[in-house]
Amino acid sequence: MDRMLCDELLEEIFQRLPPIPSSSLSVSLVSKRWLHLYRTSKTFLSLRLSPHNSTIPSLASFLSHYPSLLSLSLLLSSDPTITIPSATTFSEHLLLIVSTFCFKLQTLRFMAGPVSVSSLNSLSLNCTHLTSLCINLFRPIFFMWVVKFPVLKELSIFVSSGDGVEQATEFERENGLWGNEDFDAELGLESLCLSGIRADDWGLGWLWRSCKKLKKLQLKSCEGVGDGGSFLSFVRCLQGLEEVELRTCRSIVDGVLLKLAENCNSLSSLLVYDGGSREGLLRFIRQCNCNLQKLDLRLPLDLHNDHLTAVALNFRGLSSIRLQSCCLVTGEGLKALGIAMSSGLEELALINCDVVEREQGLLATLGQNLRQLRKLDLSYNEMLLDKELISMLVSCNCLVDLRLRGCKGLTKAALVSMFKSCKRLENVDIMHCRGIEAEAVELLVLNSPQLRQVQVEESKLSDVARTWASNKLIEVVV
Amino acid sequence: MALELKSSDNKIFEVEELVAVQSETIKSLVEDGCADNVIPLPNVDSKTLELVLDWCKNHVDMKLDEEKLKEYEDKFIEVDQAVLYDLLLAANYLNIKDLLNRACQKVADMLKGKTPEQIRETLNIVNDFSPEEEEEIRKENLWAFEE
Repeated sequence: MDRMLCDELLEEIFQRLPPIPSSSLSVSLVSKRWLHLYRTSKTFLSLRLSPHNSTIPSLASFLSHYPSLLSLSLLLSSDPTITIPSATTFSEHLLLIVSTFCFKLQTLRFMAGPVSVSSLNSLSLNCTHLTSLCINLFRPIFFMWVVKFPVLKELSIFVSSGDGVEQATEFERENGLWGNEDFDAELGLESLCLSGIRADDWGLGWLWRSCKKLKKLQLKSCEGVGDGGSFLSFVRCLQGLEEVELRTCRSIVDGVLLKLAENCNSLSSLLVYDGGSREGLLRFIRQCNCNLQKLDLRLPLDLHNDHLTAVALNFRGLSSIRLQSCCLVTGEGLKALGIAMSSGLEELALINCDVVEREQGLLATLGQNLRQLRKLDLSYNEMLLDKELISMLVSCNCLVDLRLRGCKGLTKAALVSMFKSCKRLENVDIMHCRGIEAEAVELLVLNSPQLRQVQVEESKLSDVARTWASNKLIEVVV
Repeated sequence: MALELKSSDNKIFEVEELVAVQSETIKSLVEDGCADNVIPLPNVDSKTLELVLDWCKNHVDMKLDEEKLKEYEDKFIEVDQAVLYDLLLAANYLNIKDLLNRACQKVADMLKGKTPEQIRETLNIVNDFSPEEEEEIRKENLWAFEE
């Protein structure tokens, strides 16, 4: 039977296996032919390495078995008991091995320690198909090496403070080994993510000037976007942006939002987490004349009802609103939003927003206004009662995606209402819902005709539910 | 326009061209003008060919009704292993993309959760690893994780 399944067929089958280690191990151990075909069919790998001296030769032989890799992700498991003499050299060695063995790579996520800019040289020479790169670099910040990756579209950089490697990079820089910073390049970058930029970092000017096609910008824990001159170039970069994400950037949020409102007409998606001022956000909402589609805010200390009222007035085209931990918001603001968005909103998230628990009837009203909602996320509302949720589900019959992770107050009644009211449900997350038992989960699984994925604890899956899910190709995430 | 297909056990099936060209293999024969006579399919027996043609016919009939089609597909693929493998090989030979996709997925799902011994038993495969080689593979696998 096995011989009748030709190589290509087996590879097709292996590519459809769930990406869990137990599956890959079972298949690898069947026979030498299966092992070989499994390895050649693998196009992506996610590895967690231990910082041991033996890891380097082991990784080399391991990667040599996987010739078809298109996507690789490397993490270092942080074991405090293991220390290696030179952490830097270790990471650089790992990167060198990746460059040597994985030259078909299109996506690389290298989070196995910071590397110096010079070690990126061999990467750029060998992995010429790289379109997406995520890397950890030492300061001082220096970006001209990006030119050596001509097809790069996505770049993500975490900046760390180095330990003496700085001098090497400074030398290369001052001696023009990487080109002249006075000349801008035309980078094809469409998505850029910068993490850990400090207020005293400079060297971003060249990057902003050379990114002429940027569509997506993410800033995480950044205290600056460059000094004086760089800032003007940064503003020019904002013009074509479609997606912006600002996480934990309290000191620069106001400035960025101001410039965004003034200079950008194409913004369709904005995310601001953990840091933003009340006035800055309000001014942005009022001044922005973009047709915003998605808004995602986690601003426990800064979000108020007046923001929601302003959103209701100015961003009528929104298709997705996600609010997390917005403790200062009341039902009044949310109801205004519900009324304004009644024709177009498809996704609503009120995660860990105790207003949902505090104000009775709020969810019922929202449901009545947002009847065409397709995705709803009310995770981590621990005191949310069945009654409130049910009153909303009754109106929202078009729901396809429902997330209630950590809603400890929900019981079987909520699940029954789910499959009675929402016949189109495909994805459900009921993880960590202490009040829901196996019996209720079984009812849900058996009675939801369109169900594709359920996230729930393994222990709450009865045999009946498990078999049913397996037969109906319902994915269970435990 | 009707086409005639002959299975490996010499049974003739008459089908609409529209149904038969779901198979890329048959489609290219038609386009090259080689489909005037009976098309022999020596790699597919009549039992399997009947099933495959049923799949193709329903995909033409239910093209616009996604829900109904999905229901049909779910029921269709609930077959025992021997039939599943025959379908898989036929779909591959006849190059019917959606059937091939579905059958591969079903086989992958059936491999899920099985031990190597169980897989070997079902498919009649001989274990050609030494205990040392097995140990080495297990060690290497400890590195793999999925996000």
